[in-house]
Order: sequence, then structure tokens, then C-alpha cells
Amino acid sequence: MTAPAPDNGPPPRLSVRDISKSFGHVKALTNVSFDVMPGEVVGLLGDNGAGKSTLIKTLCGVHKPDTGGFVWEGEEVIFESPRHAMATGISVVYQDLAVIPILSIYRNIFLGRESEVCRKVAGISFMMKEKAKEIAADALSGLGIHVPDVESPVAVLSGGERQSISLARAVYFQHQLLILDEPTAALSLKETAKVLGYVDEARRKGASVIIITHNLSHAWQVSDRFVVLYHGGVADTVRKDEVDLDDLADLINTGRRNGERGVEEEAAA
Amino acid sequence: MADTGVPVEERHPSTAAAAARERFGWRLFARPESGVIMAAVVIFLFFAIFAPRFLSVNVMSNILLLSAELGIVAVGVTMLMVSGEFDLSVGSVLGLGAGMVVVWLNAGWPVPLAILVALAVAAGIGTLNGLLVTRMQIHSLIVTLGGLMFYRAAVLAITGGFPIRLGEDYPFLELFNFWWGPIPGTFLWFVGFIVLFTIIITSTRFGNWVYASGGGREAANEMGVPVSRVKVLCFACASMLAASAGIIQMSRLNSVDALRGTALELEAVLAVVVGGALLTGGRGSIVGAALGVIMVSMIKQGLILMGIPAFWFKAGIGVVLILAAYINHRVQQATLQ
Ligand SMILES: Nc1ncnc2c1ncn2[C@@H]1O[C@H](COP(=O)(O)OP(=O)(O)OP(=O)(O)O)[C@@H](O)[C@H]1O
Ligand SMILES: [Mg+2]
Repeated sequence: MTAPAPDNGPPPRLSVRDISKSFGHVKALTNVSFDVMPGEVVGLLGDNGAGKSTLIKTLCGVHKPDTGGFVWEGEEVIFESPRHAMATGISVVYQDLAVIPILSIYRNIFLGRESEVCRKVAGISFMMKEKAKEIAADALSGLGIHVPDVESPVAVLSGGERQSISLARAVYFQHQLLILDEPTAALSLKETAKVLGYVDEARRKGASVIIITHNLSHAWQVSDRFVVLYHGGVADTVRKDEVDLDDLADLINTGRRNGERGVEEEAAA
Repeated sequence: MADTGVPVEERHPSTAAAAARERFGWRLFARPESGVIMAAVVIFLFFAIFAPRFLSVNVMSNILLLSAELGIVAVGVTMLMVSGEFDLSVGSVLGLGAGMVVVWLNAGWPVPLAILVALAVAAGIGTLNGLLVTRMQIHSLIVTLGGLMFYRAAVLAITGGFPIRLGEDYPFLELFNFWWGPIPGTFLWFVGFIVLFTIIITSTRFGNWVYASGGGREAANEMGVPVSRVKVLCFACASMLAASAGIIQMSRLNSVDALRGTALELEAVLAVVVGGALLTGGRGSIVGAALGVIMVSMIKQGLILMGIPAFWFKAGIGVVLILAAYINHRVQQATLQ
């Protein structure tokens, strides 16, 4: 099911191996496997409830997988916590954005990455707040995001602006794998174009990207390969040149391409 | 601002200076302490005018003395409330801290050892509270209500229910029980804790984590904040500060009794909320809580001076609490929406 790495090519940046995850009776993921190569953009597609967000949360240490594991640049790992995944080089824009409305914009930007602006005195990490504000303002304006004041709480921002903050924070800090869970859901056309631009840029810099979106034309525009989830299992993993948009829509809706057997029938066979 | 039907941009020619001024005003208003500062000033002026001798050095000293011990407890309760949790056991832990030290000193332990061990026990109690809340997912109100009863029983057990006096004078305890002119040493300890914990909560990475854990547990966790560890540490701080307050109070009174610290947890919560903290976490200020404590002491002292029966103190404080919570809520809505 997994696209085999080309001979003599570099090892995958990340291999997802046989991941299963249940919540009580709900089987959210069953034996999910796929690879992400360095510099590759993978479109992770699937209907509502297919398990996409659960998969990435398992990947970055929010949930522990029931079975299976991950291989990061050739080494087996289970990410024990989001902190661990972050330190390894994974940057995530969560579907829920993971911003804290009551906190200021700059504190949200450095959330979990305080060490970037900390000075250690007697073993205690002091945040250099002025520097943090400066960097936050620079990072935002560098990405063409305009907020009145990095000290205002995120709560005063619009939904789209919050999404931009969440995104800015993910792309600004060093990463080898960028995961975007519906990063454009609340964005205007112009902002969406920007996000797709970041994806291209991340790839140019050699980072890998997993992007989740319900907008097939966006997915098509930036992805090299697609992994389609259907009822918690991988329906198919396809390169862009192997399929067209209709095939993808069929895969998402029915778990199979026209004229093929679906995952469930295959499992039954 | 009246609605003139003119778009906002045209009403305010958007010069940088105007924007900056507006932002400055907004920030001032948005500070959690803003409400309690105004309230404290109003109450101070009220008693200055209506309570005889309120402005005397004696009365001021007494207010500082009354504030210190409750205040030290409130510092810990603030940290914990910002992290999104409660501690109802601080009153009992205060009594237990004092009780342990008195009993051990009378048994001949060296003073520093008795204090260190008592603080370690308190740290253990806080850690246990934190683990029960984060691991077992029992609400902190329940866990610490259990703690309130349990540790009160422990105080009764070690004191046998009777007041116990220190058998001799210990010079070491003068570290906590001294006067600097009209200012009680206990108040200086209180100020020390205010400064220390204000720096921790506003300027360190850990402080950022405390606010984040209370402001959005899920989001903080997703962004790599070790939320459970942060909360456990806050519980440990709250218990240790409560025990410290107990030890400081014991040094002043040279004794302990089984009821020491009773109902203090509620006064602490009251001061912290009046000081601008949100019960739901993510917002709060130690300086605000300290002002809340001083306000409570001013009311206690002022009513006595005016010859008003003590039960009115409770009535007055109750009204102040509800008013403060309402104002905080409105400020919160105004600044966040
Ligand atoms: N924390 C949880 N507890 C219980 N069930 C969960 C939890 N998280 C997800 N689920 C269930 O797992 C399944 C997959 O959910 P998931 O959020 O991964 O879907 P998704 O593919 O991201 O959908 P969407 O496109 O709507 O975001 C759903 O049935 C959901 O109800
Ligand atoms: Mg999702």
C-alpha cells in the first residue's frame, strides 16, 4: 500500500507504520501506513470523520497510537508528547488552531517555543519579552500578516486572522515537516493563495509538508502525492500523475476509484 | 461613544499617535488589577473619612499585619487559579504547617530542620493534589475539599485539639517575627513573595506556561506545554506558601491551635478574584490579589473602628466579592470581544 522508496533514493523523512487508534468503541484509525519523502508535499484527503485529524494528532504526540509507530529519518520513534515532536522538527497548524484567545498574540506565537527568546539565569528561563514582541511583529509582517498590536489578545482577532497567527507560528520556526490541518478553512482567496505559497516555499527549502484540506483544487495545486483516508483506513496512496480530480473525489466518497474494489471488500476478500 | 453613522476610520483620523494613545488607554483598562486599584482607593478614602483614627500609624500597621499571612496564602492561590485550578485545602495546610513545626520544636528539633521538613511535607501535599487532579482527572474542588477535611483532622490529631505553646523562645524565629519601624516583618515577607512570584509568573517561561495551561489546556498541550507538570507545580507552590504563612504566623503568636487557618481558603479565593483573576484560569495578577487582601484587611479594620458589629464585615465582603466578579466579567468581555 505504501509507495516504495525509489532505489538508492533518500530514506523517507517520515514513515507512518500500521497506526491504529480507537476512542472507546470508535475505531478512528486502522492500520494506516504511508511515507513522506524529504521535500515532498502530501495531500491527506478524506471525508468528515475519516480520521485525518486523529492521524496527525497521533503523529505529533497528542494521542498515543494503540498499535504501530513511526520512523523519523530512519529511526523508529513514538512521539511521547507534542513537545517531543516539536523538538524533532515537526510544526503543526491544528484544525482547532491551538491558539489561546485570552493570551496576547506574541505569547501565542512563542507558545511552547519560549526557549527561542529565553535567557537562562541560575537555571531559570526568563523570557525576553521585548525581543519576543519584536520577533513576533517581524514574523507576522514578513509573512504579510497585519495585526494592530502583538500585545492585544488573540480574542480580538477575526477567525481568519487567528488562522494566520497559527500558520505564521508554524512556518516561522525551523522545521523539517510542516503539517497543516485545514489551514485555509477561514481564509479569503488572497490569504489562501498566500498559504499555498508557503507550502511551495517550504518544499523549496527541503521541508516535507502534509496538508489536509477539503478543497480538492487547492490540494491538487500544491501536492505531489495524495493519501486518501476512508473510514479510518488508507483507501489509496497515489501520485498526482496517476489520477485526476474525479478519481480523488471517488476515493474520498467511496473509498475506491471507479471500477475498483474498495478497501472494505478487499479486506473481506 | 455616540453612533454618528460615520465609519470609524473617518471619526478617528488614524494617526499613529492617536492609535498609540488609544492602545495605551485600552491596555490600562485591560489590566486585571485595574478594578481592584480603584476599589482599594475608594475604600481607603471612605474609611479615612468615616472611621475615626483610621489614618493613624497603629491602624496602618495593623492592616499590614492582618494582610501578610492571608496575603502569602493568596499568592499561591493566584498562581493556581491562573493555571485553571482551585485549592480549598490551603487553610488546613496552613494549620498543619504551623502544627508540625510547633510539635517538632517542642520535641527538640533544630528550628531550620523543622521548617524545612514542614515545607517538604507541604510540597508533598500539593504534589499529591496536583497528581490526583491531572492523573485521576478529579476536579480540583473535590480533591482539595477532601484535603481541607483530611488535613484539618491531621491538625486536630497532632495538637490533640488543644492550643499548644512553644516551650521556649527561639531566636531563629525572629527572622519572621520582627518590626521594621511601623512595618511588621511578616508584611516584608509578603512583599518578598509578591515580587518573587510576580517575576515568575510574568517574566519566565514557566509563567507563560501557567497562563497558557489555564487559558486553554488543550491548545497549550498541543503546542508542547507540559500542562500537567505545570499544574502539579502550581499546586505544590500553593501548599508550600500556605505552610509558610502558617509558620510565619506561628512565629508571631508562639503557638498553634487546632482551628488555625480555618475559612482562610475562602478569604484567599475572594481576594484573588477581587484582584482580577478569572475562576476559569488564564488571567490573574499577584499584585491584584495582594491589593484584594489589603482591601479585605482595610474593611475588617475600618468597620471595627466605626464600631460596626463584626457580622457586617462578612456581609460587606460578600457584596464586594459579587460586585468584583461582575466587574471582572464585564472588563473581560469588553477587552476580549
Ligand atoms: N478525542 C476523541 N474522542 C473520541 N472520539 C474522537 C476523538 N477524536 C476524534 N474522534 C472520532 O474519531 C473519528 C475521526 O475524527 P477526525 O477528527 O480524525 O476526523 P477528520 O477526518 O479530521 O474529520 P474532519 O474533516 O471533519 O475534520 C470521528 O468519528 C470522531 O468522532
Ligand atoms: Mg479534522
